[in-house]
Amino acid sequence: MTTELLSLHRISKSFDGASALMDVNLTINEGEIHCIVGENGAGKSTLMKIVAGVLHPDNGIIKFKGESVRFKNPKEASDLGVSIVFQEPMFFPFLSVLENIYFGDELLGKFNEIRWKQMADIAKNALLNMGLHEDILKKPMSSLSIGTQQLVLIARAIHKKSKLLILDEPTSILSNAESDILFRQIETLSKNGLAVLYISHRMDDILGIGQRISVLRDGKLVNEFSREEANRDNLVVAMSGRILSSIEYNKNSYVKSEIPLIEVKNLTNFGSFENISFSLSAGEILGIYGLVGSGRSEVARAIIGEDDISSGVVLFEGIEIKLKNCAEAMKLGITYSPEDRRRQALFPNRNLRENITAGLFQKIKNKLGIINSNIEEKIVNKQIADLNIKTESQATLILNLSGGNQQKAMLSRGILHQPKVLILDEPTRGIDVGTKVEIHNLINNLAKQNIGIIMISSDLPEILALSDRILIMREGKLVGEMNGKTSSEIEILHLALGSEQENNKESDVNIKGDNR
Amino acid sequence: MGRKFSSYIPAPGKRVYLAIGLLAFEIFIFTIFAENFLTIKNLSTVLINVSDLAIVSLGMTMLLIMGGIDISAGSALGVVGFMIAQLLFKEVHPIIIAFVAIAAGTLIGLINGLLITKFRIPDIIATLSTNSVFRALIFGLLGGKYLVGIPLKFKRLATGTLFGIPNTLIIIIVFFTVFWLVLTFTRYGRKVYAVGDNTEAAKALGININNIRLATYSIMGALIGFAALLYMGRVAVVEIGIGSDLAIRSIAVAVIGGTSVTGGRGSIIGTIAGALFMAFLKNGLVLLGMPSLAEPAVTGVLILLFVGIDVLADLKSTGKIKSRLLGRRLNIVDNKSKDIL
Ligand SMILES: Nc1ncnc2c1ncn2[C@@H]1O[C@H](COP(=O)(O)OP(=O)(O)OP(=O)(O)O)[C@@H](O)[C@H]1O
Ligand SMILES: [Mg+2]
Repeated sequence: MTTELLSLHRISKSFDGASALMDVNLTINEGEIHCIVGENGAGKSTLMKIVAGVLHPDNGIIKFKGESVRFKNPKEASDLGVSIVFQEPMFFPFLSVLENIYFGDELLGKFNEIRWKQMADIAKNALLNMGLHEDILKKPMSSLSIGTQQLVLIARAIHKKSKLLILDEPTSILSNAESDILFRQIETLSKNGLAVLYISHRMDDILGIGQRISVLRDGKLVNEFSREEANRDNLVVAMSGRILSSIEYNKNSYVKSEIPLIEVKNLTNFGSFENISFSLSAGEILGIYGLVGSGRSEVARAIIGEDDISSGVVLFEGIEIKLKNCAEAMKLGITYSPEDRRRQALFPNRNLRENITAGLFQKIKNKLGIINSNIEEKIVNKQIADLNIKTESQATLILNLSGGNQQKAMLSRGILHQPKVLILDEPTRGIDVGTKVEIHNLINNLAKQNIGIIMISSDLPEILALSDRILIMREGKLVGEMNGKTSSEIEILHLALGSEQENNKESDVNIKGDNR
Repeated sequence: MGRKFSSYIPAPGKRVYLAIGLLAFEIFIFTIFAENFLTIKNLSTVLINVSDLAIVSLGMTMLLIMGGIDISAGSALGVVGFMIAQLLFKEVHPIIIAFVAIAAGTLIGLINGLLITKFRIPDIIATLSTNSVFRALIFGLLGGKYLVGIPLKFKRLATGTLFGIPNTLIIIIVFFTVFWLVLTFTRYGRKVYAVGDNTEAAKALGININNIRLATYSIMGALIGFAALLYMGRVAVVEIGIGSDLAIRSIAVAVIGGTSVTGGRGSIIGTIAGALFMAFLKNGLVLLGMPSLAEPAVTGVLILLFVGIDVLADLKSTGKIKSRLLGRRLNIVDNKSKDIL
């Protein structure tokens, strides 16, 4: 027996004349896990924000339990039992975890005073359910790792006894262990009647937990599958409207150079990583795999001079370098494309063009040192085409792009510098399957042009598909090196999780998540 | 067990220990080097003199936590002070005067708040401008003279004692307790923190940011009105420079106490420590025979120092600087390129 909880009727929404959603119909039943998939910019987040009262539809009706509703703001939606975890985490960094969980619906006593103790008791449970330790309750949000922050935000959404939970790409910043906890939690809750709208680009997750799967393409609902009907291929076809060729790449065969492009010897930064040694040849793709928090990004940041080095050396083309910051690194030809695009890369109030060409002044200036907007426009147009960036125009504010398209813009900025060494940190986080293939091809082509590529990724299939060699990191140490062509997922996971993986997998991650 | 019970109430954060430690150190130093420092008479003088600053600092702390600031506090106190003086000359009943003073202060705060919310003028520019206007107003009203011989109707309030305890001490304790309760146990109080911490998130959660701003600026105004009563009771003179260092000193009080100038963080306990620190500083410097000009200089340096400490601590905790102290690791490379564009 299914009871309809919420239904959308002919919802349309456009931004400055550009249509983002057209006549979308959707129903969500009580206790149902309903997945929404679609390419970057298909309108998934927009639709969710409409359901949660953040955005207002231009046309169409929302019915909640059969009654037509109009949410003026997210609070009204939340009071009816709709809670949302946004694609871009939104929280109060200096307020405690407890406050972040309860903000806006504090428990009040006789005199309207906030009942901290009572709130703490309930919040503890909410944290435990997400596999987090209650000790973090008093810590400020900013002191947690981004994975833990995300789990806290999910705990916030869940504890409210809501009827509908919206999760917009919740796992893109979670480790595998953290994701598993989330899935188990979602499944328990849905058995108790909670309806879940779940957005993700990870096909395995979608096929694993989705009971119904709706596909959005260019703002229209094009297909709806039941769990039994859906499989990877028909989902991809529905999303992109075309059949994707196989995901096997012709790996280029790089020649191991005599003098490596980059060589790292015994690199150590106490507290982050220890004794890291490896080398990278021109044209090689070196994958670095490890759980979130294993020190991968820190190593990359140390190489480009943005994090400290306690001991050890970095050689670039055989010569020892001591970089002070990433500007120096870029001059040498080492470019880093960071994982946390929002904090480390984006200029939120600037448009797409400026975000792509930021730092590219040398290439787009004319003889007088003034920016030549013709050249700039051409360069950017090519990037938009190459990476398939979905945007109204070059002048669109970067924040108005969908999450995946922001990621592509950041990637193209890195590529445009024509570096000798390109360090990509989670290059396809939040990017849809179709584009992922395109980006993988792009990375492959860059390697063929003799660029040395270090690719940090938590996406094991991605690492395996692209890397010539794979380094595996655990808790700040290099625990293995594998041949990208011959190794298997199991072997790598084994190394990354450590030997007692099965027993300690979860607790391990939790403890680390708290104090990064 | 008792500790455990109270421990989920939002705590002021470690930074407050620095303020308290510093206060203790200051008292220690002045006790050794200034003979008359640690006497009942001197201490109660200090308490009397700090009362208006302490009250205004409470409002400044709330504003800073909310991501606001009020540069006009001193001239606003001057304007209200002038009104009080005129009413005293006319022998209006003190209770009515008190009521008028607080209402006038609130109105001034509301004006600042409206400029900031309705006309979207950045806090610092709005209050810097009203500061200028109020100062000119005082000048015009005074016509180049001093107002002296003002009836001393508020002298008892500001300098008297109750059961041997200075009135101002009681006033300060009551105000600080009430504001601590408001900031810690009311939704309004937590919203003040939230707005300063992440305005976007606050908006997304359906908070009416402008109402919070209006309320907080009005509260600041009311506090200034009350402080003006204490000031007139204690000083009983209105001259052109009235309150001219109040804004900067109250900012110093808040900042020394650990309130962040970028919003989201700060505590009433810290502000108590900061207020006492500033009060003893002024007093101690005088007792040591330092020229009175030293005080503003010290105030300025203290603000720079403490804001500096907080910035460094932030960078350190976010990992942007690690072992090295002052740093390059500010993630500014990209911002530089933004400036070029
Ligand atoms: N505030 C806005 N102003 C203008 N355009 C917007 C705004 N928000 C979204 N858009 C546009 O609406 C379209 C749909 O965006 P949306 O964020 O819903 O995509 P998405 O399906 O969530 O993609 P992704 O998988 O990348 O997160 C995009 O073309 C985007 O540029
Ligand atoms: Mg999205």
